[in-house]
Amino acid sequence: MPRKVKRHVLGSASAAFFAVLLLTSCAAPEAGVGTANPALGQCRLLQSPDEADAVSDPSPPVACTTEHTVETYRVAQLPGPVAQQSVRPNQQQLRVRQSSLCADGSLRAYLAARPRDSVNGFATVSFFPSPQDWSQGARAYRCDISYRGVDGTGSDAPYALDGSLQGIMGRPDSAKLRLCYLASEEPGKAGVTGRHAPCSEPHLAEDVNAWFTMDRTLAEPELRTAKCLPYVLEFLEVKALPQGVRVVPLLSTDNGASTLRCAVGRTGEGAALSVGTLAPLNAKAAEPPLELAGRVGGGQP
Amino acid sequence: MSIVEETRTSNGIRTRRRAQQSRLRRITTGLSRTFGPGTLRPAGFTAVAPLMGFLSALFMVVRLFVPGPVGMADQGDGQRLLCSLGVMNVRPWDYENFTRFIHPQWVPHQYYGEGCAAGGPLGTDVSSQWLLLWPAKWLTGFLVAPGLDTRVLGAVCCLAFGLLITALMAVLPGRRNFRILIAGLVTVVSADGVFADFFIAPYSESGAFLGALALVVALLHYWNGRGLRPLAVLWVLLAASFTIGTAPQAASWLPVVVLALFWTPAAGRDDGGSPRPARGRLRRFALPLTASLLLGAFTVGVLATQSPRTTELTTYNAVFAEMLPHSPTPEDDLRWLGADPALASATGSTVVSANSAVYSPRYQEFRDTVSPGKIAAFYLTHPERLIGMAERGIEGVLTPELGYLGSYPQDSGHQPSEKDRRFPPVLFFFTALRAFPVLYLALNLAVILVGLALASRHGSAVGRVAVLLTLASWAQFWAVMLSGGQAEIYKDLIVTGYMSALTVPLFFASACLLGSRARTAGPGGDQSSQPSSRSRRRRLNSDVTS
Repeated sequence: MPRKVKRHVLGSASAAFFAVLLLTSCAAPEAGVGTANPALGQCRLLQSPDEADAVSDPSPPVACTTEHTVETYRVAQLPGPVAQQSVRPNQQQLRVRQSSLCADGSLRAYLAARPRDSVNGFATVSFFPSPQDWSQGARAYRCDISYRGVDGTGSDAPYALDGSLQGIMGRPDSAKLRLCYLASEEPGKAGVTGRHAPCSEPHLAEDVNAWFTMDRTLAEPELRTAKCLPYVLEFLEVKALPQGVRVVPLLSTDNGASTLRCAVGRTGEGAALSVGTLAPLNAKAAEPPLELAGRVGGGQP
Repeated sequence: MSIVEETRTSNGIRTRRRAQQSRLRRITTGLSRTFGPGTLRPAGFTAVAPLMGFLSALFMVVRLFVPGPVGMADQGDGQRLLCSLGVMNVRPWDYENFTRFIHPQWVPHQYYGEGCAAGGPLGTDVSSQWLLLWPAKWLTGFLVAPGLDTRVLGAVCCLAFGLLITALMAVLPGRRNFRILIAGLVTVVSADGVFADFFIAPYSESGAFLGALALVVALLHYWNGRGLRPLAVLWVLLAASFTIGTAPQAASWLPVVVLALFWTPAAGRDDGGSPRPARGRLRRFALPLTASLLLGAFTVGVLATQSPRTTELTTYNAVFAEMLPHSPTPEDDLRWLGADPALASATGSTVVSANSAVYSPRYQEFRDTVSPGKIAAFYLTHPERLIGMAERGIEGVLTPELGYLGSYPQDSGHQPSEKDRRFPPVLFFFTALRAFPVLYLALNLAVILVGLALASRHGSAVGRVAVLLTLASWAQFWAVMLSGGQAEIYKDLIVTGYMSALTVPLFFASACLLGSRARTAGPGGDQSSQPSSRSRRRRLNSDVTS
């Protein structure tokens, strides 16, 4: 074979070999665990928004005492005509039902949150059977919870936790997850919400999960205090305000709309920058207490 | 004014005009001496080819990395392409912050099931862009840390670009300076931020750009008729496979490449210019036929590997984002497609819109009934609708800057969504054309006419490539408009824009070769070594240079 021809043939053959080698060496995703029978209380480490957005999640569960981002708080069978379809409905058709499937009282029950405990920093996500499991008749879905913080940064990235969230709101370490305010107030004037912070950090007031759209009936500070008082009492589980505690009605303005947020704070020397929650706790802190290992994902919010 | 004065004045004007014409001729002669093609024969591989390739790659590197890196922010497609490489983007979870900056770092990650892509037959969208991503991943692990850095991908793309410019220099006809000029123009077009920024991005567009350039090189080589013909066909096949493999819409290259393969160098005539006997023709077409069949099978394979979810989204956008919003009777259109007219309430939506049709109980019927083939049939029976679509598409091509995707890293000090305009010649050219879109059509027509004239008179490979690239850009244009349409028109048409921009250097080269022949070729000037009278005419002997 002439040298020139040999060079051409060798060049082409090596290029083709290189192409085939690269095309066949892809790292396909692993199948993971089955999605037909999800279990309550399992924890998983989902690190990218695409994993959290997927219709099904077969990633293997991890121990809840190790770093994880989601925890299953509800498992149920998909109801209604959607479940009758032989081919799994698409992502939007299933996700649009998430609010009705996952947002009943089961989340508060799982967290041991009372009606006046703020769960503002939590987010839920639902997962359904994989197409293969669906075609074999599986219709069970799971609702997972993640903690996205109350610091007001607006980031959707969840925190990696190293403890279970089951019953957390009855424990002292729930202060790390509760919504508090570094509010600025002037005597005689309405307070406004300042920087948000978890209650485990120094703060001026703690949210009692009672928010109202501002109208004329709430024009005066006294009216706002009166509006908030019953909710603060319910939060504290008392009939009258105890000594050293006060109602803090805060105004929040978002996109031009004002909202009254009822909060509770300390009076006197403890009023400035207190730490911890005022909620009556009925459980001991977990051993070791829950820790937040930072948000997953990169980039500034 | 007297007659004498008038005569003097007109004589003066004539003299000045002659002097001006003489000056102009001297300038054009000077330019011809320096940059004129001189000959239609390719110079082959000379030392200047790798030097030009190196300088082009260096220019691209400097343009992309100095003073800081620029790229194209991801809008979500990146993960679908890269997750199968086992990497995860280090990025904010919030979509707005995600798209406002580039996030070049991807770290190793194990995906499970549908966590990676939309769960197609192979679990992910398949793309020949992996041929660039895998070396980038390997190099990232070797140079930085395990994972993939799209800045390293940018360097790999610059290297590939440099190699292609080297190859282009080897297959271009003409003298050294002419080839440098054409390769330089190709580099200038490719270095515009609207295209080059895709080198540092998790998209398949960079592969599509490089693939188009590789096809230009391979087809020039094929039509130059030098070296072994089966190998020339093999290079065309490899370049076409890579380009078609980048994305489903690149399948539009198939008919163009098939046409190119059958447009054989000698057009079925023997050396004396007489038609070849049938047996010779059959033998001549056997190789292109085999290659076309192989390429057809490959294209079908590529389309079959796309996930059903991708097909569903494409169909949805073609109907609800493109067809219905520009229809006088959306209900009738839906009826024609076999879908429920009540779905017209979702006109203008995408699947994630609040008024998306996916929430309707009638959507399942739509999904089962409407297919890309049915949409194509609709437009075949409603050709008047293609006019408006073409207008929207041309505006899309001439708006190549994706303003909603940032160009800079988050920590670079640049504003969110700020665009890179370090080197914007194509952006300026296209923006100017947008004021008179008819000029875009005129440019395409001019490229085809000049290319055809050059190809028919001299059998020039450059003329043929100019024609084929223009046809390919239109094939890609319609593939985009009929499949995705308005939903993400500017990004989807960027490859069409690149091909259109590439036709400008080819148009220039064709015009030079054609003009040079008309002006400079004279009797006895042929120095071609080819024996036939037809091919004797191929080599242009420039009396300007001799």
